[in-house]
Amino acid sequence: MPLTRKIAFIDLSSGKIRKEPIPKQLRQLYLGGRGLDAYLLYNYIKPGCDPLAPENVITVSGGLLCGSVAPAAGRCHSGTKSPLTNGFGSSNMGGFFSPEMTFAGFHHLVFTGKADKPVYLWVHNGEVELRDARHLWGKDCFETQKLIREELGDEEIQVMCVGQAAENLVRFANVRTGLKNTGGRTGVGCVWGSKNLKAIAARGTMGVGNKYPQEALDYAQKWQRQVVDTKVAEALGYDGTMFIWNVTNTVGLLRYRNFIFNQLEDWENLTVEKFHEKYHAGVVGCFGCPIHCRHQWRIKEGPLAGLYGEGPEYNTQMCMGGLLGITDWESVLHGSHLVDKYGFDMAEFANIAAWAFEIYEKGIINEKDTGGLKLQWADAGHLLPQLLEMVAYRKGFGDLLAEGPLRALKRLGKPEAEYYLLHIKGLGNMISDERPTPALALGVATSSRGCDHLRSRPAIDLLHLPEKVLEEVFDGGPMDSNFTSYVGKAKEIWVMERVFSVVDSIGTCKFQTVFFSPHMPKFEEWAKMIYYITGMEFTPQELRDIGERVYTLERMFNYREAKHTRKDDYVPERYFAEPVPGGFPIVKGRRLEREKFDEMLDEYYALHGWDKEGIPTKETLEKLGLSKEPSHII
Amino acid sequence: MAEEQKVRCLNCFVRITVPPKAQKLTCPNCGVEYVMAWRGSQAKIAGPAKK
Amino acid sequence: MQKMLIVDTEKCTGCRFCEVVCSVKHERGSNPSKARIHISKLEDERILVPIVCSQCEEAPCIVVCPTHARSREEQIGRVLVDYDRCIGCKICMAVCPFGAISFDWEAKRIISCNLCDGDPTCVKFCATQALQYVDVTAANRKRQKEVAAKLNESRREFVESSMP
Repeated sequence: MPLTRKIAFIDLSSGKIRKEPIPKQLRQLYLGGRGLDAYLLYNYIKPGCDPLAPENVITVSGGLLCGSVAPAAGRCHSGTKSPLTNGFGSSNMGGFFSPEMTFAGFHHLVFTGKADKPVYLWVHNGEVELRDARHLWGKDCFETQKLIREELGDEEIQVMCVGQAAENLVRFANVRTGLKNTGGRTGVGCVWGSKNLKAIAARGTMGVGNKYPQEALDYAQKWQRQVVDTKVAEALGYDGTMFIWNVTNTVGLLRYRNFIFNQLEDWENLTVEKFHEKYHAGVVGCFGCPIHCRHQWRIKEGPLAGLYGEGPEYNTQMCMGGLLGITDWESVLHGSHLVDKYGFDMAEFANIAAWAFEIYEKGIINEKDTGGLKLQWADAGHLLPQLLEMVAYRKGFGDLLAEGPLRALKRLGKPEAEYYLLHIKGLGNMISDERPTPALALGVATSSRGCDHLRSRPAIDLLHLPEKVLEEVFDGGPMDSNFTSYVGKAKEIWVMERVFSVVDSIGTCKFQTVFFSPHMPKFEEWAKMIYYITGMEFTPQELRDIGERVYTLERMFNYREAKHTRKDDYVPERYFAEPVPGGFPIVKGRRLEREKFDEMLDEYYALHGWDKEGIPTKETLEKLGLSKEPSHII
Repeated sequence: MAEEQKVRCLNCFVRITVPPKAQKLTCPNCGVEYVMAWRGSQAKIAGPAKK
Repeated sequence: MQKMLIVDTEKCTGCRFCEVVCSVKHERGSNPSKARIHISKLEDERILVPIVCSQCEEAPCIVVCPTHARSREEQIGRVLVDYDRCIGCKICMAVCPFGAISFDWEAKRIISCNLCDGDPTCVKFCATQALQYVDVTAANRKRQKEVAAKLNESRREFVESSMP
């Protein structure tokens, strides 16, 4: 029974551990996972603290339905105050860690303080203990997991850990499990490193009961059928997320060489088809998932022969590829292996490295600034492994890149470089070029963790679906089938925020939402599954309200900790200033229009019940039950 | 008999019939050109044709 | 006609949903450690093998059981355990060539797959059909067809590529 899972509070400074039941009231308000983590962070973090100070707090959680019979109920959330943005730090990963933590009896872990030497947490069947991790410090993400399993003597142990990048306080260090599962964005791993927290090991045999077992099983089958019958499930199952690239690169919706062009012209070598031909080694899936969108890869010949891993994703294709102007698979795979090894966000790295290459090309920096490195685009593939290692160990120029956008700009001290570094609220931009897609632009501009697509991207907006279909998915119109239009897009973002907030709080995968297909499960389905498994009754509207509450609390966090207001809800200047240089006629020549963007932003704030500055009004806070935060229910 | 393959033009969104095993495809409506890929008998767009 | 559970390791993605649904079916809650099927992942996690009772015709577990608690039921074609006789000595676990018998430490008895009385739950939920429940006479038919299709495809490609 999910409701019997506990929360553990671990004070790393004193070593004291406290285990508590999770108040049902909090489940009713936030469900669990990311939602409850938002509550915990807002309540436990000392306002205004330095993200790398002991006063920062880390949460690790599985969702309300983690480990249950709901398909793909294996997502894991880790949150903190971000060392990149000073705002809401939040990352989410798949794999098998959080179900194991759930079977060990826990849905939530809260870490406060700082250990005086490296430690790891061992969670097993109701027990929580801190163990010495000095022998693990300096080990990469692959070794750490293996060594812990050997030490504790059980191959079934799941481990969540950080690598050398976190130990060296690379601001975008991440948390990892398995071969490539990554809680990538906002630098959560860096905070782990600052607290000397190396890993969490989990192993459990405490089942997650069902209130209505047969109904839960039957409904899980229905849900699974609904998911598997979509066209996108088939595409994901075969090509993984790389199926998206065939669309976005063809149209011209990607960033090539930072922002110099919007498409790979020499694309033939970097296709998923080429990958299948030469490197594909199998297909795997996360806990309980029928979509199995993950590849396994292996390099069979050449200097990297024998190297293997999981992935690549669409993000890998571009972060280790097109964004840096790299178009050969071996460089890309090698790069992805190294970020998985050292444990840092490849999106953040690629964004800031691409910036460095562009300002080098433009003469804003030279070899004196880079410590002798000649950052020429044509050499990016050749330089990539070296740069990745320099960032992981903060060596030379890598030390500047490791600071992330805001601090790297400050340290460099060249105002003319700022224009070329794409970021929103201090989080680096994604591989996508949102100039022709107002909905997607609004999404990244307002995302509660900085520039990011996973807070609210309505990817189906790109499919030119009939208006009737969009109205059904987005709870009413007016809607516009054209992705270049500004009509109805604020509503799309608002609805998607709720969709993602709820799915991250129940702990199932976003790929089983209306992210990619209008036919996927939504609030109605979630309400049923929650009922059969936990007995808790929510109407679909009540779930939407929970989504709104979670997102608003994240917004409040950002206002309190980073003073984020309307001025921070904009895409980079380049989106307004530079027209799309190439690609298909539908995108070429387009710029984001400032006036229309502002109107969309106003519409978006109104939908949320926020004022013109993007601050939640008193009435909105009362309606959502947030006016007494921090409320310290636990 | 394999069913007729159709893809959606990514520029103007009309549905285009894809001849079996076609390596290139031009949209009859807006003129953009594609390079095609095949997974068995299933057609998909691989990328834009070079100008 | 008797059916059998067949496992295609190439199709297994290691998602372990079979473990989840098996445990929900038999134990009413999701608990992979009490499932009758287990995905064994070899160290670098690139080899994924579902392990489940093979319902052996000449089952070692039946031979060694000191209280004759294990027996073969021919109608469905499966090996069952009589819990009135089972003393939990666990010798059957030691002799099973596949490691397919587990011990429920809470109920204090051995557990193994009983094919859900002829309607295996894991098969219903396996998204890739790595697990199938098929007629014993047709068990290898699908694999034969898959191989034939692959051979035909390579032969066709070869013929086409050698055409002038």
